[in-house]
Amino acid sequence: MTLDERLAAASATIGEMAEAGITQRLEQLRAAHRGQTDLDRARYGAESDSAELDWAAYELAGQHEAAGDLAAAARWYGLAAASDLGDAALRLGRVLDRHADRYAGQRTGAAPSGTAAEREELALVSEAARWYIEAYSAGHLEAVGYLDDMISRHDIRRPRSRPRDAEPEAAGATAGAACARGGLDAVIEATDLAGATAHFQRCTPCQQEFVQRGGLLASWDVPAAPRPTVGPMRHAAGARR
Amino acid sequence: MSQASLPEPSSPGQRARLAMSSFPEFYRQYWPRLVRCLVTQAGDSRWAEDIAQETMLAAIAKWDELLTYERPDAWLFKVAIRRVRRLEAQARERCLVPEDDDAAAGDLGIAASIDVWAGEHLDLIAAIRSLPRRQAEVIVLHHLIGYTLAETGEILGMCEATAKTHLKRARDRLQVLLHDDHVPAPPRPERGQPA
Repeated sequence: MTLDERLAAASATIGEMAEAGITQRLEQLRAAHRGQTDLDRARYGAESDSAELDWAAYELAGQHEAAGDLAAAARWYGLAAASDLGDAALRLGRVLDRHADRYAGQRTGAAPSGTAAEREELALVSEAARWYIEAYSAGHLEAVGYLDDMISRHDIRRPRSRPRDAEPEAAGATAGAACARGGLDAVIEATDLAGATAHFQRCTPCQQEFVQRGGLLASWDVPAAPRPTVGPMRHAAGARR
Repeated sequence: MSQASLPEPSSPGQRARLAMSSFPEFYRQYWPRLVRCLVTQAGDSRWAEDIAQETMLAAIAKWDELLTYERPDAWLFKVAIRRVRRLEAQARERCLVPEDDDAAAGDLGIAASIDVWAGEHLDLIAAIRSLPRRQAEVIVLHHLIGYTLAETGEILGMCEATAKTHLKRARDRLQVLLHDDHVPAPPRPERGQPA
């Protein structure tokens, strides 16, 4: 049986269901509708309207991006990406990537000096990497190319936010929920590469731990510096999903 | 189990216009499609019926407004898929997404036990579930529900060209998965159970 034959067979009967089952469900729906409070109705209305708001945020982000306001674009793409809208995660990664380039342009020399611009550049690159990974796991395979390209542009003596000899932050030390499998180290120890990769794609606490450890750029030797404060840009990009 | 066949309109657009005569008719037309679409998308089958019913509740609440829409059915799939993705994102956030094949096969077994359609297309559903989510959405909306690529893109918040790219990737991957039998085959349900 070819793929098209399988799809056609499934499509031909997807609308068929026993009338009794549908009627029963419809009665349950009517009962639930009758029993709804004003609060329930408001909640359902808000949830369904949020689909339109996500799209509006995405459109607004595109306008800010076209106008060159990358911070505002990231803020609005972040809202859309938090709801997993279309290619918002990929576009957010691209905008953060381009914004990191602007900070890179402010560098005064090749050697890392731990300036605020360098730290902000690192933070943006790490956030962009996170969203590229998110986009890749959603099916945007081109995100890998963008990620490679971004790393190649930012990997020369880049600052990191933690001195090399400092202990890595403990698993589960990230804000919010903890990984049920004990964090990055535990997953890597207990699983093979394929299993660890599959877990990482699905586990936001592990992704956050990865970013907190300095992300892809953690191994570079840079002066110790405090982590950058959370500004509007980072807040938007780090919106919980 | 015998399934009562509903007359099939020739296109989704025609089906939508016919179904707009009343909410019960709309429900009869789209409940099976919606819940089965969600079964192919959700990692947890228990979510499918709940999300489909919640989406229908939202639809009945704004029925008068939906009557003014050109494609109220598209709104239905848009809202339902967004609910699934939001729940999945929350599950990822809490590291609650099952990763092993046994859990996936077990969940498909549950889906098959409550719906004959799922049982009859188990290998296809398992393969679609293994796709990245954008690819899974595009292939189901286009090939199973019958939307054009432009309509599919509109539902998913992407342009037609992007939808086409995802469709090609999904088809390529499905060819490999179904031909090479990479998809875990869960036990088929007993016949004769209600859909």
